[in-house]
Amino acid sequence: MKYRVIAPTKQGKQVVFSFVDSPRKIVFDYIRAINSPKHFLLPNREVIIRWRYSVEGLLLEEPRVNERIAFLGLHPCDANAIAILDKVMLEEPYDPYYSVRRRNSLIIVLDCIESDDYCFCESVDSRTPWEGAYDLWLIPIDEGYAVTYGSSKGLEIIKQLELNRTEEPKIHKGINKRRMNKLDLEAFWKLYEHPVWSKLSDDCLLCGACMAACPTCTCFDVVDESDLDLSEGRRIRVWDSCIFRIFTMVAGGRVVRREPTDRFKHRYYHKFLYFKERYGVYGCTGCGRCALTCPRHIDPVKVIGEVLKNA
Amino acid sequence: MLNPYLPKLAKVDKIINETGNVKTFKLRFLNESDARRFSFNPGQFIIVSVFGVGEAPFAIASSPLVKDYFEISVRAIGNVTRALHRLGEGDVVGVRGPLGNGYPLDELKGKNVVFIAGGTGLFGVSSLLWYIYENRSFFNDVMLFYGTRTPKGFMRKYDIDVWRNRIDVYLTVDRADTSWKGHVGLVTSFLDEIPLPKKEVAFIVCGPPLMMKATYRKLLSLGYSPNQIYVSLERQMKCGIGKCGRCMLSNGKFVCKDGPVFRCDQIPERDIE
Repeated sequence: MKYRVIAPTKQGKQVVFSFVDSPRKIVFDYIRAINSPKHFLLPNREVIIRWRYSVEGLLLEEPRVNERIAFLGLHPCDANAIAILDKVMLEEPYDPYYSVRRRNSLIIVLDCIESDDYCFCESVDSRTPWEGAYDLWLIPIDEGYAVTYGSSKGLEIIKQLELNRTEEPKIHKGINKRRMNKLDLEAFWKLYEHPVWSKLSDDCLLCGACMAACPTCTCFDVVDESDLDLSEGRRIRVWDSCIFRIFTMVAGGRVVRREPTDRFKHRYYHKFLYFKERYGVYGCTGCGRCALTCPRHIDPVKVIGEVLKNA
Repeated sequence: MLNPYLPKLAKVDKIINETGNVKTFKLRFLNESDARRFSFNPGQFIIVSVFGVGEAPFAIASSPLVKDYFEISVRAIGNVTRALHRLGEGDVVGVRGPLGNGYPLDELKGKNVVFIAGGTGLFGVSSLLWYIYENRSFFNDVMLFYGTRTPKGFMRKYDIDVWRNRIDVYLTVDRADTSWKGHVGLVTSFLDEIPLPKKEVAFIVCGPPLMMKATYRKLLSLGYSPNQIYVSLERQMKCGIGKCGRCMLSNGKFVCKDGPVFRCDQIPERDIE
């Protein structure tokens, strides 16, 4: 089975997941990439429908998706981010484009040994890859890597390799530099209308950078584009953010989440409460990209800590 | 595999002018097999495409028992609705759906059903009114309160004239003109004047945000409880299948997938708008 390989690479000072054609380009020693698997599995500006006017009238076409992607060297948080995308995009009815890419993908996790000031995976049960979130899991040991499989696809690959048996490797725990207060969901529910939210949201510039950086944000807009002669056009899915005012605007101009505070807290309630209730896991992997990318470095650990002080 | 984003093509069969900026579109699928497969529960909605402009969700306003066409009534107020108003008979649109859950018919059967609709909110309940009209013996007393701003604002009058035969219809206007002999005042004030069923009652509410909120509070003040009140909510939607995130309520429920009809004990009061 042939795949195109996506792996962490160095571009300038940044680590970026990108297609690689040589192992030499891969950096295995990294904390986080600025992009995430979402950029490949649920790409921004994806065409979802095309139309064309012909002599037979209006014709609709579905774009074909057939790429086979292997993610090599994802940290556990990013593998879990894919599992979170799965919850949304593979819930009935399937998203047809995501589901094909996902079915054709291979996920090779590289275990994580180091955290920086932004990581909080251990607070959201995301320090290790969840069942179903990976095909192979590489764990650094003294002599190289220990490898274990998480799927039949992974087992098939292991069978084809000449590997030495090793003891069960030690998973480094307690690597994060900080922890979130245990999320008391019951208390969190009750704090929806609490004024602390407006104090916290005052810091937010409403720019949406957190959404673009987030490996689990799936919300999107859909826009139509026509060629100038109107003979054909396409319907495009564009990443969007619940922090934008027009996100909830209905015809006639009514905005459901009018105040910045309404939108700011929606993101937290969605990821930490609604998602957990609907799908059984947090909609956050603690990767820290949002806090790092935010111009004000608004940090979920601190926000939730502040909110729960009022419980 | 079925692509939930792929619309089925439908022809605008007939356009009816309702009021100044509301038109009703009678739609028919181009493809015979699409037409055969299409059936819906009262309260479900469709997403209609004007290719090159975009998509918007609409309640199916016609009877679920009519099989060879379906109708949407549309106020020209946004991009897609204005584009729809520019269409003529014979033009082609895209249709996705039916989407969402309709009204829980099993919960409503045997009950007294009181409809309270404001303005274009009538379109959100009219498929259920048709269902009840056609299956009248399954229901006890059925009333429709329908309020608009002015006497010229009543829509789907041709439907109301039919429903009157089996349903008690109460019309009200915010502002009367010289021709109007009926009730004047908000629909909520009308509820004080007409005796409502005391027990075994379900209220079906749809209308502008303030009207829904006011009606909900009015019904609570009259002693009814949230689990007797059903609302059909309007939210921004793109996908209609619980993925794009736009219609999410403040309890995490999707209006598209979990709604658009909710019993009021299932959602926070702040979302009833």
